Amino acid sequence: MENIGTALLERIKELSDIEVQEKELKFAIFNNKVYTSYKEKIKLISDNFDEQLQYYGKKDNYGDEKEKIISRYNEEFQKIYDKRKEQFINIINEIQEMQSNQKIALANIESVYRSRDSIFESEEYKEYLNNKNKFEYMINITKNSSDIEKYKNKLINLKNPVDSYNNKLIALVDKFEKYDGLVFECEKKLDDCIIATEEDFETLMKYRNNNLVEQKKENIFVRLFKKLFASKRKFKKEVIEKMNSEIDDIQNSNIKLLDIIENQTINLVAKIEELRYDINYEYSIATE
Amino acid sequence: MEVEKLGEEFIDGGIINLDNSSVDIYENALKKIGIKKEEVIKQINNLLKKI
Repeated sequence: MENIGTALLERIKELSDIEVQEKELKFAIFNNKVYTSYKEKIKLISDNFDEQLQYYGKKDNYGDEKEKIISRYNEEFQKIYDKRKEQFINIINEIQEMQSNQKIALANIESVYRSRDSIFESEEYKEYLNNKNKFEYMINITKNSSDIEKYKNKLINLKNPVDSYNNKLIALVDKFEKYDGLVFECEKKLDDCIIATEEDFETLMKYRNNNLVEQKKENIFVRLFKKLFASKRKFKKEVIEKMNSEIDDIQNSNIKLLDIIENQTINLVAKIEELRYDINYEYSIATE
Repeated sequence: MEVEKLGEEFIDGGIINLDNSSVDIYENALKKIGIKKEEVIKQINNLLKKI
């Protein structure tokens, strides 16, 4: 008996260490994928600026203006990353909490299991046996049918301490498994968070992408005219001011997006905590 | 844009740089420790059956 308990506690410790490493790797994957997506987008914006210079036949590289535009885009990407990172960490914390509860359930299983032998030596169990023997004896010797019924009911209602021990074990295993299910669902949410961040970054690009589509519709004569004769003022208006105006739109739509992400996080955490409460409540009912 | 720095951690018997390695390294490491985790959980379930 001692070996099973010790082995269980050792496996719990191993599981703990593995789960910590899992969380670290998942965070690294989140950062890596999100940063890769960001780098692609920033490169597109930077390349696009350079293409615009060529398109308008500008030889100066407008370095300062380009840097300001990139910097403004960076701020907006940063806001989204920070909010999604918060969401990611919140989910990880909930997973951690549930995995702790699982280990507590396992440790309690070990502790309940260790108490098994002492149940048979307890006063409670001796009393149960005495009563059981007494009621069975009375059922056998009593001629009166209502007395027989009375002792049969007493026998049925007699609580065997071993049953209570078994019920506790079953309830603890059930608790462990229910948390497993919930952890699995939360881990899927971590993947969803990465995808959602990449989609948010894609959305930031929509204003620039729309304007490029418009530009591509211009016919060859318009394009040639711009390349040869577009003034600095025209370039400033059609590229620099336009791109800054797009970023103004992004800033505005980001305010709403960040709110949406925050509410998603709050609702998700609330839902998880509700489900955790249900699991604990079912356990307490089962072990009453 | 700056992402949070995670530093180096001892994972699956070796040190992994959680900031500058490729995503494949992280995903492979995750897969390996996932296999270990399944093994530990199997052992736990076997112990629970004996109780």
